[in-house]
Amino acid sequence: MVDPAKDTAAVLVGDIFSDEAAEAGLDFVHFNGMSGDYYMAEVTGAGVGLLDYDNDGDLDVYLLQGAMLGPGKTIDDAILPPPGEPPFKDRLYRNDLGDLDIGDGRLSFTDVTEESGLEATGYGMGVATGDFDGDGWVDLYVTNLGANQLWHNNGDDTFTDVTRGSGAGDELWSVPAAFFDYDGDGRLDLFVGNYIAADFDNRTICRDLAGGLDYCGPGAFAPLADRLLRGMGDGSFEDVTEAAGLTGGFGGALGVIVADFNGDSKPDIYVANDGMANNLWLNQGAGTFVDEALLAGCALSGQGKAEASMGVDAADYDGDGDLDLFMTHLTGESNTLYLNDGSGLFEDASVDSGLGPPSRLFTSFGTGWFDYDNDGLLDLLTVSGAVKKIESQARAGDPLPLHLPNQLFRNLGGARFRDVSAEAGAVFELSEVSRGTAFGDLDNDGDADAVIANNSGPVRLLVNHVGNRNHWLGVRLVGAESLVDQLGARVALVRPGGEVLWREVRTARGFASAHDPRVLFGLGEDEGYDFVRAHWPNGGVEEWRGLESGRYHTLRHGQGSRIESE
Amino acid sequence: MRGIRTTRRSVCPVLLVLAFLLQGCGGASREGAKRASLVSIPVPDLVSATDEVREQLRAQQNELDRLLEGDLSSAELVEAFGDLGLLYITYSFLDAAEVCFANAERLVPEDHRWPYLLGYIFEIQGRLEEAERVLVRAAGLDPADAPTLIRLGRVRLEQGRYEEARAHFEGVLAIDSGSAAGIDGLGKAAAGLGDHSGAVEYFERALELQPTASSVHYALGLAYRRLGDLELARKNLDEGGDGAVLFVDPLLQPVAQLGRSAELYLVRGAQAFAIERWEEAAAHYREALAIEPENFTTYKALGFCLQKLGDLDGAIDLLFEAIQTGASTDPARDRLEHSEIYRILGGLTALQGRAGKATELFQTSLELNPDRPDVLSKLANALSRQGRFEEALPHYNRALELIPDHTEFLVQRATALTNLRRSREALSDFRRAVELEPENALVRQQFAEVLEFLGDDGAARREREAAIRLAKQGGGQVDILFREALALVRRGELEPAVGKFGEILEIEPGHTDARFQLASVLGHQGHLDQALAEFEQVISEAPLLRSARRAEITILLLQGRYGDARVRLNRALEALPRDRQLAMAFVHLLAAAPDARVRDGRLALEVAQRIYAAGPADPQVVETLAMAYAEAGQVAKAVELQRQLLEQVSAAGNGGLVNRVKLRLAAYEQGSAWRATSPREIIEANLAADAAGNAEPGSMSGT
Repeated sequence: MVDPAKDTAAVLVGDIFSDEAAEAGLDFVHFNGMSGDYYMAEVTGAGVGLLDYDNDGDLDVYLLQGAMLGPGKTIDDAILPPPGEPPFKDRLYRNDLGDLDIGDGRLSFTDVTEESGLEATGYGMGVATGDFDGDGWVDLYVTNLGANQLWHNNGDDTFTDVTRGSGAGDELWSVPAAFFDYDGDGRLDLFVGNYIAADFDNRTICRDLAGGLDYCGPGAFAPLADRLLRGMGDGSFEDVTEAAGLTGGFGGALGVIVADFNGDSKPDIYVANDGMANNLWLNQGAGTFVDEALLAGCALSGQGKAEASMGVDAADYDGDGDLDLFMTHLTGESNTLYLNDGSGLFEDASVDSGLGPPSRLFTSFGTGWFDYDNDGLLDLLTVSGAVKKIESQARAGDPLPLHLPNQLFRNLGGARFRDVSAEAGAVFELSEVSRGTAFGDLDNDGDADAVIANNSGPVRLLVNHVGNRNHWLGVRLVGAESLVDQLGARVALVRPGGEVLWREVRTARGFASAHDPRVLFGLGEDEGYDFVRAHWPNGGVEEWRGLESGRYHTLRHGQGSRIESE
Repeated sequence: MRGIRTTRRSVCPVLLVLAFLLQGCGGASREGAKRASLVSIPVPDLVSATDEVREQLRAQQNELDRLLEGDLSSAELVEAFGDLGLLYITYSFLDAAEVCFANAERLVPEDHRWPYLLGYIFEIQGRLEEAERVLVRAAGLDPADAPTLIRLGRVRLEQGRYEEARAHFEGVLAIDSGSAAGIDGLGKAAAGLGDHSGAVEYFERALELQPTASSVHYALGLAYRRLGDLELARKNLDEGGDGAVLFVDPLLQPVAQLGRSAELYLVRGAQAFAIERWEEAAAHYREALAIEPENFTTYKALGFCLQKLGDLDGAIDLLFEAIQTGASTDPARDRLEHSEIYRILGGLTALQGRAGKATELFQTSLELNPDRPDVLSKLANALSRQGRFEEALPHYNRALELIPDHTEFLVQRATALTNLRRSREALSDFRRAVELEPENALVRQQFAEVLEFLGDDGAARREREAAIRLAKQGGGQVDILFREALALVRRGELEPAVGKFGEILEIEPGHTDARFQLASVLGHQGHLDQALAEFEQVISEAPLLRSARRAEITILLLQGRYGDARVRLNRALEALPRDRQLAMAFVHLLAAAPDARVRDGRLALEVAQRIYAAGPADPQVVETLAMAYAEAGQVAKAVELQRQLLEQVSAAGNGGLVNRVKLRLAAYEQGSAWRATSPREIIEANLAADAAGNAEPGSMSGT
């Protein structure tokens, strides 16, 4: 492990990340359809998804597209040039890296949208991944400004839209979504976070303090109710929102994390709401939830203010075995780190951790915990772009005066972080309107890369050049019968001396994005560890010893040594 | 040296130019160096700003340009930079404001105002290190400036430097020991340092000093949680709101007066509303409406302000206007919001005792947003108040289907069932409610009332005793006493009711409802002086409470104090200029009072014409106008109007009214005005005006 006092980021040679999207063939450019009417939706999306749709062992990329907005608008009205001819649709890029063992860092993507059968022409917001029918092929749920879509992976490199009749459709403005098994029946359920009720036929006009046109804030619209859909096991879903007690207190949802926050082994739901109190729906068992965010201290900022709350992620960053929350907010607010005391009560540790102050100049969306340098400590990336005109950019005549650079925060240990963006590479000098980001080891070289979805701009592929200088161990937790990623599973890597690295199998996190389901343990300079222990989502603990470091292992439910005491 | 205007390319080709370029003109002179040090002000993007804003900025910039032509040591020039900076802050053009203050500081570096204002900008932008740097400079220039220390303390808190923050807030208290901002800051520093007991003490004190600073409740709630007191934690967290801890900030005070856009007034209104400054909030919202009359949100916000001010009629008018304005272009939002407004309108009309109207409004609310349990129960309550218990039951049932174990709904349904003599079901609901909340004093009290109604006096007594015991333990005593007092009034037991209201007011002197009820009971008992004193107190607490205003005037008339009645009516109309009922009462007094010193025909006619012009011209309004014409000496006009009125009311077949109209017509036909001969006739005239309602827009005072 790295000595926390010794900040290795400063001594790393060369860039930590570089953008290799163009070289790798990831040529997607987002189009937001803005035409001068300041529709809020045009600056809201979009997320990005990483998934291995063809089960070939590497992560493919799903990117969400926009469209023209507003009645009667055509691309001739577009202020920013469209990427080609309409209709615009989401794109699926196949990763041609191939075999797991190659890991040579040469990435190459092919746009396979047309042959995949994906016909996602909605105004894209977010994406969730999960194998809802348990057939071993990961499926997609796409949230839109308008009708959402459930895409079934046919297992032959194609998808079928099975929304109709599935009960998973939603015509509202949805942003985040997450597959999870809230009732422990072994079938994936779905949480859909809905945002606000905006009508594009009748534009709501918002102005800045001088009376100039500007984008509206969420307060100009009514927040929409989120939905909890119970997976019936036959590919259909039942709306159990009301029955589950999710009956009020909704805000405009932009982020969602499903995880066990209070240590009772039942998955809870944390919803990050834009400008309104966040929800912490604690799972009561028997299929019901109660919102305890206020008492838990994670409804509002430490100052008692409802903040913008865009992206959110949860992880055990301080190694005490519970899940802490990190959220991104608006300029003038600060990103928030909520430290869990183990019982599901949180303290705002934004200031003391060093994460708050450097974020106050930024409006950030996508985020996530990841150990970019494999030192065993979870770091953070925040990707940014404003939602209200930035004065200096507007003054300079920028048609989309919202761009900001992204930030990388290194975990120094001792619950302290440092902004290392300036040392992280030229890609951190870019100023763009970034929204979603997803983490995953796209080149299978043992460290976490990131894909960043920009609004009205090209996608960025941040390839990690430093992580695998340290030792690592990767695991994929799957079901007993098929290659179904065990969403919600917890994995502990126990090191000599008893230090434990806790990680979770979770794809839905950050801002409206889907991440690598695999777990990557950074081992630092010492590859030694005692064992890996998997806590399966529906009970049962198994242990593996002797897994070789420096490579990925698939851990199948039932094939480890069963541990009775936990 | 001259100010140079620039143009902007692309998006805003015609842009106001507010920048100046400074060129050295004095060679190596000090003046030249100073001039060269000044920085050009960035040009804000004003492409879609309102003309008024643009003009305001242009005028201020022109003034600065003019001064820049002259002597740089001019005090006026420095002030002009400051004024323009404040104007930019007003409209949130902070880049430009920053340059203004930086230039001012370059010209007069020893003036603490400029680093202070820069510190404010950096603080709100989150540029903490820069804020710290300039605020330290400001504090060095004026160590006794409390706002500087408050801001510096807050910046240190943001930086996690709690010890230093504490020192700054202690400095604030050395200057002003009653500074809520200083004490709140000490609380936050204590919390940061892990001293949660200390934090609790500071936060409690801050709240004592500034009860509207509802945001402190949140910090207090968290401090209690850290101390393990979850009950107080929850209570305070629930009470948390947006009310910030305010402090007097003379340098930024002008910002509150500078802006001229509807958005600014809306923001200020919301800020004032958050700290419960209802009058101030209403004034801001009225300004916003003057600039942008068709704004749904503003109508709604102003309506809520009036509700808070006790002006139920005004609030109702405005909320209806909000719905009719329909300025929102978001039907989905409108549907939900209109449903919410109808719900609130229902609540307001229910408060006015108009249960029938409330029923309609709750029904409309449910049509727009069905199955809201709270609205279903309110609809059922409104029906119950009209004795329509059978109709109320299905709504209670539906509400309880949606939230099965809702204590309040159970109690309400039980009460309806009791009235329908379905005692067994009622008792079952009550028992369930008591089972759910055995410690709820109010539920026990209501249970006692029902048991009493059903004749089970023993059980009723036991429940009442339990209720009182619980109320004393839990602090809900006032609610119980109030219910008991109202029950006594209903039963006609006025003397004990007076005692109960007195008890309530001893515990909670600001309980306006209790004081109003007490005054009413005293009036009924004929204790007019005491009643008047209580009503006056009510009016001082709730100046827009019409019922209190009317009651006060009625008592004065009953006492024959016409002069005092005129003065109070005048005041009432100043507070409630749109109140037609009060305006008509004023005319009646001016036109028909037995006391000649009170009468004023000219003024009566002026006000009566205003009422008439505002419409509708119903019989009471016409009669009031005729009365005023007669007193003003224009008897022929009074005769003409009164004859028209006679035809109208005769056709309607209202015998009583016909006789009254005839009586007054006879007086006019004899060439004289009608005079009330007793206080009661004036009061009756007011009651007649009452029936005319009061829905006119526009001010009718003018006295």
